[in-house]
Amino acid sequence: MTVLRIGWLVREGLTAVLRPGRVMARIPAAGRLPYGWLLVLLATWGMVYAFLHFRAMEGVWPTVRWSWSWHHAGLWRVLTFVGGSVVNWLMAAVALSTLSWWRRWPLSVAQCDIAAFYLWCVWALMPLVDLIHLFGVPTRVIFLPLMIRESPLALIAHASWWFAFPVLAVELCVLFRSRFRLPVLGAVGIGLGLLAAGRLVFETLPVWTAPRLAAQGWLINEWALNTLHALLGIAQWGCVRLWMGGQRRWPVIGAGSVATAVGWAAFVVW
Amino acid sequence: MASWVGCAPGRDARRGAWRAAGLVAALAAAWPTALAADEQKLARTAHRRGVAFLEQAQLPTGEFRMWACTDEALKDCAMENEALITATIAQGLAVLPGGRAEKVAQQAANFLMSQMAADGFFRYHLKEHPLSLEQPPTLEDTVVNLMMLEALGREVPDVTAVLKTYQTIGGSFHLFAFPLADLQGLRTDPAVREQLSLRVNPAFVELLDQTEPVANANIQAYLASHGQASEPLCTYLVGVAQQGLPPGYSMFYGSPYAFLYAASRAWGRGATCLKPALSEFERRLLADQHADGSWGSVLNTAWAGSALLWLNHRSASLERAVAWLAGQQREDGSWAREVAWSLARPPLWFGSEELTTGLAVELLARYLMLREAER
Repeated sequence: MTVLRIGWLVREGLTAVLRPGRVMARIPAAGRLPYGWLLVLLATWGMVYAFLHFRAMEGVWPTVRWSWSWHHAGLWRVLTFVGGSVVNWLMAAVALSTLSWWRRWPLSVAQCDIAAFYLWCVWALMPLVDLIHLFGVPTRVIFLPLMIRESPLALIAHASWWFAFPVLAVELCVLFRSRFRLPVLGAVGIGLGLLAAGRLVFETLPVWTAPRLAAQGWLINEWALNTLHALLGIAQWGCVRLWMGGQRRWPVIGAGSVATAVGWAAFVVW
Repeated sequence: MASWVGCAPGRDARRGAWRAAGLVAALAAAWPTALAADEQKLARTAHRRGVAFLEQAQLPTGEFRMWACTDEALKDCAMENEALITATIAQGLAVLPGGRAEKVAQQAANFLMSQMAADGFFRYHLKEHPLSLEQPPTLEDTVVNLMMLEALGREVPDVTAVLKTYQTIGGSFHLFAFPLADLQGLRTDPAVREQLSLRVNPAFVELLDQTEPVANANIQAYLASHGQASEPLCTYLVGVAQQGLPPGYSMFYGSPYAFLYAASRAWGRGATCLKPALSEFERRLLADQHADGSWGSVLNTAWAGSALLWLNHRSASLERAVAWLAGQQREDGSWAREVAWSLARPPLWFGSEELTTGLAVELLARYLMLREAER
């Protein structure tokens, strides 16, 4: 299997923003990501992302004077962006490979990983779009009809949403069309479903689960929980990967895959 | 010339007439050469642009793309992960050694090497495809890919001996490298079918005992290139040709020229037992050529023109085909996507710009090689 160059992948990922059809149809079947370089890129950009995000959204640059606390202006929070960058790619890969395994779509694990990287590139561009908030463009607060500890749950809509969500939806739709010939409505539906699940369930999950854990007396907040979610994500990715990679041994890998999926479901239900 | 026209009939006039006739004859004799020179220039330019297109279309892994479409117009398509198309294109690129074409072909060869099993066999789908483990190796893919790798100087196993174990009593081969003994009762005994469904994906069970003429011609080409051409297989292929290649002659290929190309190549590689059918191949190819020099489409023209070249045919037909083909080339150096083969169930049509371009490039390269050799 040919190891693809990270430069080529980044170029393709950025091109996909403008020409998703061309790029999604060019995902090689027999190539694999350079996982070492990928990890370095994801982590590094996660750090850059954190700096740009804090500056654009909260008006501050993270500094070493911040404490190593789990709370708002803590350095742990910066580090969650580093981990979050990796987990974003990882979860997209898990979602795609689980879907294609479940639906028996002709997409290899490596192709799922590559497609997930292209989706990650859209996420990676978000803080650059958010820089327009520095020039006075306001953010919007969207209240969800849900209460957490008697407080309404709200999402802060920043400018990059208007960039990332449509682009991600189009990329997913094009991916499903060009790879599996899904009908347009089906492709749009699955694309939007994945986006909604990612933003409203996966990303919001700590907001739900952290207060419950805190109520048990565990001093953990939502940012620390992200780490736990990341670990679950890694386990799930590994299981699905091994499963799709041809080593279809039900007792071990199947059980691991199901266990992590149940773990996710438990979190969501809880 | 003007003075001759004005001459009264007489000895001088007759001499003049003879001289003029000689001049016309000389011009006529020189015409194909002049025409060939033009066509060579055209062919060289078109070949260079076609190679440039393939170079930029090749994926970093070395593979080329193929589309599987739900409509014959090849509009509603999804990617098909298979290796045969890469070998088919690389074969055309490898005709003229050196330069960018060889570089692209070598990269394709790297990709094919990564797809080859230890015993030298290939499956239809790539190793990474979810169905790959559920299907037996395919004979056509194996021989075409191996021929291409051998042409590029790669060390690959010689599978002739194993291949012959899959030959039926009638001389032909089935689609898959699957033990013939295990297929007994496939059509009559449900238990056998059920048993086979446990070994291979049910979608492939129906195909296990199927025979396909173009695949068999390719197998003959491989055997012949190893000095092992099979007489019974020739008998089968000649029989197929004698039936006139009507629509539906092949379960995959709609075009008769796909068979004529593969069979001519088998002969060109040393399957001398095909000789009884050669004149019929040539007659059919020349008779079917349209006035514009094509055989109706780019793919057909590429197959038919290359078949004529494999048959060592020399005539202005080739120049006309090359000129027409060059005229169909698009701005980016490619030729448009056309249906190369299809499946009945589920109904799918396969083709890609890369495949059409690869086959067109092969015709141009063979034509240029012939003209270079003549010079």
